[in-house]
Amino acid sequence: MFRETLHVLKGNFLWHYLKARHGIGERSALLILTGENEKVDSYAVQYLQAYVQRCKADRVYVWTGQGGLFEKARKACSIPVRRFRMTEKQLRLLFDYYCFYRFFPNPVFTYINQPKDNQLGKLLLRGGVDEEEIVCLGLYNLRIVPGKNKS
Amino acid sequence: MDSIEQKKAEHVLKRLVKKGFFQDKKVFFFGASDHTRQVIQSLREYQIEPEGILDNDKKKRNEYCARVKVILPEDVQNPSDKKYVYLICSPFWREMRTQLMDCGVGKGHIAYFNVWEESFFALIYNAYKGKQIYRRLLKKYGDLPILFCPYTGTGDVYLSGTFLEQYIRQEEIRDFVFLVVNNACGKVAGIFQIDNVETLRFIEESIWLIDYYRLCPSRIPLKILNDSWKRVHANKLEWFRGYNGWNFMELFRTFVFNLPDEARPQTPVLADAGEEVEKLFRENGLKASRTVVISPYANTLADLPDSFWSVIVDYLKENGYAVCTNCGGKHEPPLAGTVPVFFSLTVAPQFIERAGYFIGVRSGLCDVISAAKAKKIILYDRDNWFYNCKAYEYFSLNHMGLCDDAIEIEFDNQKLDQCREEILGYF
Repeated sequence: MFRETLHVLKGNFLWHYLKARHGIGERSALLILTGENEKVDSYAVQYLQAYVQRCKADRVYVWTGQGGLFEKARKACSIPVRRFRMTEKQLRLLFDYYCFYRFFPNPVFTYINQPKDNQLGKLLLRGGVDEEEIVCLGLYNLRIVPGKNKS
Repeated sequence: MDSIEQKKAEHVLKRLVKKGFFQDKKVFFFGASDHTRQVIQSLREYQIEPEGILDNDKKKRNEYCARVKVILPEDVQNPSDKKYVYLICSPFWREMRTQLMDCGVGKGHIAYFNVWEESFFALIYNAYKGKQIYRRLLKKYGDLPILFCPYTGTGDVYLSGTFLEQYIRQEEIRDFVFLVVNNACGKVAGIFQIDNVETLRFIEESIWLIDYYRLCPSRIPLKILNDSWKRVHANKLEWFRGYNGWNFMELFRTFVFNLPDEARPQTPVLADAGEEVEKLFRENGLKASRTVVISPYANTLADLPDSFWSVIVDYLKENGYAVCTNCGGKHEPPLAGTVPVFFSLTVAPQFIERAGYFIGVRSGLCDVISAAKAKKIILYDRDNWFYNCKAYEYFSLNHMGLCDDAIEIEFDNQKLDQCREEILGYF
């Protein structure tokens, strides 16, 4: 338990450092495009505006390994979209920390198979839903899928 | 809302009443949900009736939650009026607060329930306490897998019981600990004659154990028997409840037990409880095959006014039935003119079989007695939503495959007479 505690403690320090560095406030949203599933990332960008409206955010920070997606996010959103900067190693640490402690009201990591309790990947494999629904209902909690007008 | 949250909500409410927060004010809730419904019930204990429930979801407009009308936020004229107060019982409280404050509502006119957030270090301490619980289990049972029902709802435990045998066969588990949060849940597990049923000492232990699991998932062989337990926030299935017609059973089957679509819930073989049931009948003056057990209380779903029940009770008594109310405690008083009975959940199906008739608002007890061979009338509030579908669609006993002989009625709060007539038509 000591090792795990130390690990999330590092995550805690990292988050406070990143928060201060980026000037993240309570009304910000944070989107981490993990690259685990490209379609999920792409829909996450497509519905980013709906998400920020739902959480009443006044700015959004996006982390992505792909510059193209960041540009799309900027175009898709009516509020300021800023780049969230961290290394892949820091991303891993921040996610582990998030799995233990929900450190911020509006963080979205686009993982669908991690951690092991995350069942979104399994839901996708099972069929009956696609990546668009995974993003709108699972990651963003929009309660509807605006593109399908289905709930 | 679990019992810890409910306790906290009642505490907050008491404090607000004492402070005079509601004095000469019109009360609005924000967000039509199960949490809101439960707080409304607690609020009514202080003779305070809400004016309405605001919800941004247009499809809920004009529907009812705990008999209170759901309206859109823009339907409130002059929302910043000083005579209005707003209660929020939602994890989305920040967004709701922002929305209200953007309309000019002052901070002092908003109160919050269900928004308790723990600090990071409190969670670490919880995890440490969770480790002690795990040590206790290790000492007693050894390194066995722990199948844990974290919710106090007996329906969840019953449903888990119906899939348990198929699950342990599939996973080739030889022995395990079945961990529950209270005695009622332990009794439901008893219906399935599960060995090694362990009950936590108090409800907070479930939080600590899960926090330990979240910190050290590889160090504890814990399996959480819930499709989307909110403390495990990295599992995002919640809003798929009822989506595409997926019901309670299907989500448990697929996402809790990992079983194929062909798997069906297996109802338990009921043990012989003749003596205990007979004793209850004798002591309460009930008649075999001529007793109607009424269960008017539910944790998650709707409730009905006393006036609705009194006509039913009178009619049944006039027609020679013995009528009793299933009472679980001081919050569940018997209906007027009925015999209060308290039977153990272990013998609930046998008790209903002997009675012959059951009328109940959909609750966990309905799952437990679903296998009883009796006339079972189960009531669902037509306006009650559970995530992405109507409560009836999600919780129907017949649709879930827990039985095929339940008489399931969706009632309209505006037309309760119709529902009552339908019920009486079965007698």
